[in-house]
Amino acid sequence: MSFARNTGDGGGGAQMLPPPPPRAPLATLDPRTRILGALALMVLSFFVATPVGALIAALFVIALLALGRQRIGRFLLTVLPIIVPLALVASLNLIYTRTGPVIWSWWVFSVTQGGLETSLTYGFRVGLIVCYGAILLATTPAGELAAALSILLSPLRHLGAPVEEWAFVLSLALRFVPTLGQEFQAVREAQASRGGPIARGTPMQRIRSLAALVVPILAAALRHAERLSLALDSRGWESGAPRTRWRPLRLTRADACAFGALILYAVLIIALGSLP
Amino acid sequence: MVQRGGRVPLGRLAAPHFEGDEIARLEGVGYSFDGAVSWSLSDVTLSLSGRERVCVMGANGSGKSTLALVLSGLRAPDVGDVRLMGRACFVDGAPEGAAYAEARRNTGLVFQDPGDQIVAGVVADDVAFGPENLALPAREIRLRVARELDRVGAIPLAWKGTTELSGGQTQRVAIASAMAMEPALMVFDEASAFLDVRAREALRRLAGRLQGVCAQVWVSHDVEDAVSADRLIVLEDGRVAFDGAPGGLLSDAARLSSLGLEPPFWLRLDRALREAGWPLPSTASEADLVRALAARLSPLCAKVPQSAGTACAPSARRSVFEASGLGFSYATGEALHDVRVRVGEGELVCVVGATGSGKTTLMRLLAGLVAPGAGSLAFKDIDLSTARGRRASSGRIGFVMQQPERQLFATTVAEDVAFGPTNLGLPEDEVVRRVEGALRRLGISELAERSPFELSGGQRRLVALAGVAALEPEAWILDEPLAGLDAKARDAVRALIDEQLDRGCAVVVVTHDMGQAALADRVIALEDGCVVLEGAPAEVFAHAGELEAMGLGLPKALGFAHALGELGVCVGRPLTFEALVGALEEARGA
Repeated sequence: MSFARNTGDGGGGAQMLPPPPPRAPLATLDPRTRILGALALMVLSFFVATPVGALIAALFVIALLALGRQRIGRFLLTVLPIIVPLALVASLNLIYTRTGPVIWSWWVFSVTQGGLETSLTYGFRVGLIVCYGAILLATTPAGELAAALSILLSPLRHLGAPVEEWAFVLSLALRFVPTLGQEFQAVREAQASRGGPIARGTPMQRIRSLAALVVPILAAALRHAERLSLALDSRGWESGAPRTRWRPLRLTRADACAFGALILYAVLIIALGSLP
Repeated sequence: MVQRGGRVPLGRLAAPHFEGDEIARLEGVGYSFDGAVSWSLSDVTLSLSGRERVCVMGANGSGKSTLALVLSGLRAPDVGDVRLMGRACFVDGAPEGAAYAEARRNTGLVFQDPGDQIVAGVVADDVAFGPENLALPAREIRLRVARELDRVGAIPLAWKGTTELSGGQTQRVAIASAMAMEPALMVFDEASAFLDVRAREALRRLAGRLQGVCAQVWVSHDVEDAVSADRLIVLEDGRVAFDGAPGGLLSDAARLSSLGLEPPFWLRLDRALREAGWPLPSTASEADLVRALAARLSPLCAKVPQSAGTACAPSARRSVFEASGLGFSYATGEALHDVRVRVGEGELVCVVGATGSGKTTLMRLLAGLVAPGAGSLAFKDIDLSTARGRRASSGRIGFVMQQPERQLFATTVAEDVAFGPTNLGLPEDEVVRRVEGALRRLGISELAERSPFELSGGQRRLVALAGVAALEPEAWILDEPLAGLDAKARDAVRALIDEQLDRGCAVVVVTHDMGQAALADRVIALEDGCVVLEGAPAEVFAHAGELEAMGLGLPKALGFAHALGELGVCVGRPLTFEALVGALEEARGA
């Protein structure tokens, strides 16, 4: 066949792909395991109710970060902007929950022991849930996420839902987010260097300067969409058509170990939570 | 019957792999974007067969991209007959959906913006995407992924994220992904227009490697792309103006110019020397001309002054930009480190460097769009490191980023050009005067009432430049202003830059075109965020080895002189066409 000849090294025949670079232990798990595991951990965080339970949960998160080869400092920088506002909401319990003895009061405010415990518990659980989600996203590229979701949600296909297409569109959308972000910045800077967009003038002028940002971005999004549809077509993608996977998802012994560890953790947390 | 041309309905049918010889045959094809008012293609008749490598050239707006779309089965014409992959796709004014689907299945496409074609997050997965859609067994897909990544020299990139790649790498991955479908025809639509010198050369080598594997159509306006093609098709106003072996046309400078193409450097030199009365044998390539000249000139080194350029005296002109110790970091790392720049009034400074060397960051800093991370940066008497200073500079520094035509937004050209002056709060009659002046300067007054979205790429670039010219800025920052333009639009941009320099503007241009850099007052070469070479062009281009190691070339004239030098004829270090002709004349007299 003509295609096999005339290759880069002139030799033809079997070129080999190098093996994929080693990944963090957590990332070698099947993405389905990672998604299901994260969901199970999120549910389990509602059973964390005692200081010992909290300690175990915190140690488990640290173990996950280590297995995911995540740097703790950088990880905190990404989750804190999400956790802090949620923790503030949880701390409203300080004011509204009034059970147990009053431990601190000032003017019309007072904090009860029950309020303190409740807000600490809720704040901690919310923090755990955010951490699990962040670890999942940090160790799972969009393509793997989409592939795993399309399998996990495949029962919905019997209800007529185009699950594969949803997952594929999701992964494409995620892929183009950074591109559109860069373009938005370019347009904003270009118009700024022409003295716009202006925050003064008549409403008509303001609308016009808004158009200066929106029209090029829309044009760019349409251009991407059109090119992408041509590319998908020329590469034979068809909604609903059967396709193969060159790297099929496989559950391995590591996944079995992961589920074992998860069950152990669940037993521990639930047992500690149900202690008097 | 004339049917409105346009989009072919997409959708794949299980189509066989095309093994025949007749790739495409167009007869009397016409294509109009506006319902037969103006024709993007008219009466195009040509056929493509076997595995030939065809280069399609023409000025901006001559219809070459439209021809590529018709050949790849993505657009049906308004009139004419189209046969693709041996099947009638468009006959008697009606498209044949099944035949079109089969043609597209056998055609690979690569666009100017390869990023739009990448669908997966990992390189190898992207190459596998097409074969997966063909429902091939995993083993076969693995073979194809390895084979195609190897063909484009991207095996080491196999497991990289597709967003981490440079423009040239993305282009190669897009080609591998298209080739994994085993197409009978590959169509490259201006695939090299925005690549740097090294990536462009890699792409040309790749074209040679595809020879004999499948038919290739390269749409380009760089004559260098046509040199090694089997066949050259030149379009002019939608008509085929030339169709044949490239050799004949590429040695006819007058004919090339009349078709709106820039003759290659050696051909212009050949012509200039003949006009100056040099008795030269007929030449067909640069190597021919070098040999002919070497034979004419004595092998002794001619006595030519070694430095043809002016020495880099510290400019006495009033400073417009003054930066020292300039640094900038992104979250991903340091982009600029300890950069010193000084640009005076009426001074042209060219910034050169490979992709990722920090050129764009330097431009954004000079344009006052971002605050420097370290060091000082002043524009005239304004401190650009403060937010107040950057606000005060607004409208006084004209910034033209890559492909500025993408920022057009208004319903008419005149309105778009008026955006800047209006924002400056100028009175209406002054705005009108500036808009008219800017359009006139760029030679596009007749476009004032047209919509920017219906213009050709080159015209749109000129409109975007007019939008900045209407600000009447005191300094210009331009990022690759000539990339992707045809000869006529290039001349218009060059004329604008010259005029702004005469007005006393400081002009900073980022370019991959060393010929353009040779004309600058000073050249700054960046590598990994640091200034590695700086000075008059003559000084910078004396470091040929270092420039090559950075992936940068030399001005054509200097490269030609080096080639003569290898045959024992020294003509010094001419940087420009005129300097080379002068040096040759002197050597001949000696």
